[in-house]
Amino acid sequence: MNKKAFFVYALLFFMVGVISPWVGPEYITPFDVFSTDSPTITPAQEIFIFQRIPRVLLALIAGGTLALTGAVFQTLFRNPLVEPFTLGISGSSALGAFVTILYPSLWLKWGPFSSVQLFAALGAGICLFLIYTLSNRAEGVSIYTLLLAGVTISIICSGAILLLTYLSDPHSLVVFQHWMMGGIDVIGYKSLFSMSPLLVPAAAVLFFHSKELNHMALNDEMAVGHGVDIKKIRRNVFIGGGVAAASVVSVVGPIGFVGLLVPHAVRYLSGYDQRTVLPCSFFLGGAALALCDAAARTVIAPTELPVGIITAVIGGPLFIRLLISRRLQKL
Amino acid sequence: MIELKNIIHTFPGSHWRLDIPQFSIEASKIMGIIGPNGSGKSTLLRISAGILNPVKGTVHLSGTEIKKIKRKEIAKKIGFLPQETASEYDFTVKELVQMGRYSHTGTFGTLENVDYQITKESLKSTDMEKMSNRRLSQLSGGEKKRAFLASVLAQSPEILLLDEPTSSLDIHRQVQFFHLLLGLVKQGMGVVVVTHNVNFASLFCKKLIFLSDGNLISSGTPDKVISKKIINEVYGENVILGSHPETHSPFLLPRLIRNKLK
Repeated sequence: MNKKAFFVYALLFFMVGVISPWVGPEYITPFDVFSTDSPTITPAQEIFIFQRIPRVLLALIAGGTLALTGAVFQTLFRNPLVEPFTLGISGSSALGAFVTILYPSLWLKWGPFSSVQLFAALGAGICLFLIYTLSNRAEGVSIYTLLLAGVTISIICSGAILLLTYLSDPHSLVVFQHWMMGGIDVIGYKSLFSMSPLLVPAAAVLFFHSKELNHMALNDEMAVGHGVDIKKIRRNVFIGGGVAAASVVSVVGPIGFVGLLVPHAVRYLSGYDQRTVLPCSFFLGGAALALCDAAARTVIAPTELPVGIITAVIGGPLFIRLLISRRLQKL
Repeated sequence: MIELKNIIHTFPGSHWRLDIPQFSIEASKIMGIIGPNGSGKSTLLRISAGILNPVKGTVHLSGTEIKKIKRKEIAKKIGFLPQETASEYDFTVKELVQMGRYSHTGTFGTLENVDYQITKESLKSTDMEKMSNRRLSQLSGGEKKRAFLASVLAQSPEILLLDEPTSSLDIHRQVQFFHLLLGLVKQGMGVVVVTHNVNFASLFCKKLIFLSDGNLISSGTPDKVISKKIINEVYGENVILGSHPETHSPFLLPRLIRNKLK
């Protein structure tokens, strides 16, 4: 493991986490938050504690998780273009969320959990179950069938969303389109709590298998020869990655390019050892999304942009730049 | 020791079948598996390594059925080098060789001093020490093969199973490679090499087994296995059987069939 890289990325993650809550349409200084004699909470404190901090924390965790799942899926499927979108996880989550938004009778809340998240996670779960069942063979999971199944499910979900869009009322459409554009404009800490029961164990599984993922980059026979139980690793990483991605997408909506680009950047900068790539992708993905969100808050202030638009505007050209560079061919 | 009994293997949608009544691989010996394309050499090797489960029959490793042994435990005893040795990522040679220590590491895969020492020895024995910091993309075909062999040697296996290990090497490197294998045999390792190169197998292996169309045609010393009768049966009239000028071991040469070339 490259410890130097680990600490550099961790420092970046920490610094972005400390600095970005101070960025936003309302100008807030440390003096406004910490040096006030007011017996009640001031507006500046309220914005800082209940809007900026949870929002930055959510961006750090969501961005980190999307990049982490992108990194593990790209290695697991030996394909540089794989991420939660390609596998249909984002599409099926979106369909689950849309169905909930469309039918007000399904709007429910239990503490930090809401039915939008529940149905989005359920959609991702059904997608995972389907593509895993379709591609699971006696000799192990077929990578090609899995990818084909993922892309097919994405297309089916897109079709279903289009049909529901055509049939839905304008109000539901606005709510859904906001969700689809990806947003982390949360208030309070509920969203963070609602993600954690699924996200924490799933991310732990992924980090735990980082050493085996190095072997998964070799061909199957070589990995098995080294002593890796590839069936077990594939199953655990696939389910862990899917659950982690679904838990994030269910809260922040489908945010593109972070899961695709960040792992490429980490491998380009810091080598291919997955014990370095996974934590560093988490740190860089988190920092990148928090910075994009800071931009989303300020670019057209006082109005805010959904962060998914910023990641697409920055990520798209960057990806094309990577695609035409020779370096990507080796990734 | 690996013991195979009554092995039958078929692939879905194919009439081809591998039928090996008995086959064993012992320590401190080098054995060659030879035969024409599609004879079942690689399939037999993969079954011996526990990578492929046969349709029928049993494989035992040191007396225990291989199916019941965990992959990590198998990797401590059997080193397997497949024919295809690609990597999706451009690891350094050192990183690749350290991966070979996987079966000896604990839950978090932390390498101890002994692992670094064995990694170094594996690099040295394959003559890759000076290239340890090079990336795989910076190596020639032969160097890449040696790097992957080093990662298999880093497993410290008792038995080494190699599938066409010299296919991408020039003749000089092939000779070097087989001398390296003889050195490992002297240290007590059992080595099995699947190869198309009957001449190298004849020269360097004490025991050969000859497969044709999934059946074991002959086994024993090179003199016994590479006989005129078997060569004619399997390769037809296109091959001349001679002998090596130094060792007098059987040697194959191509026949120039003038009529067919016209």
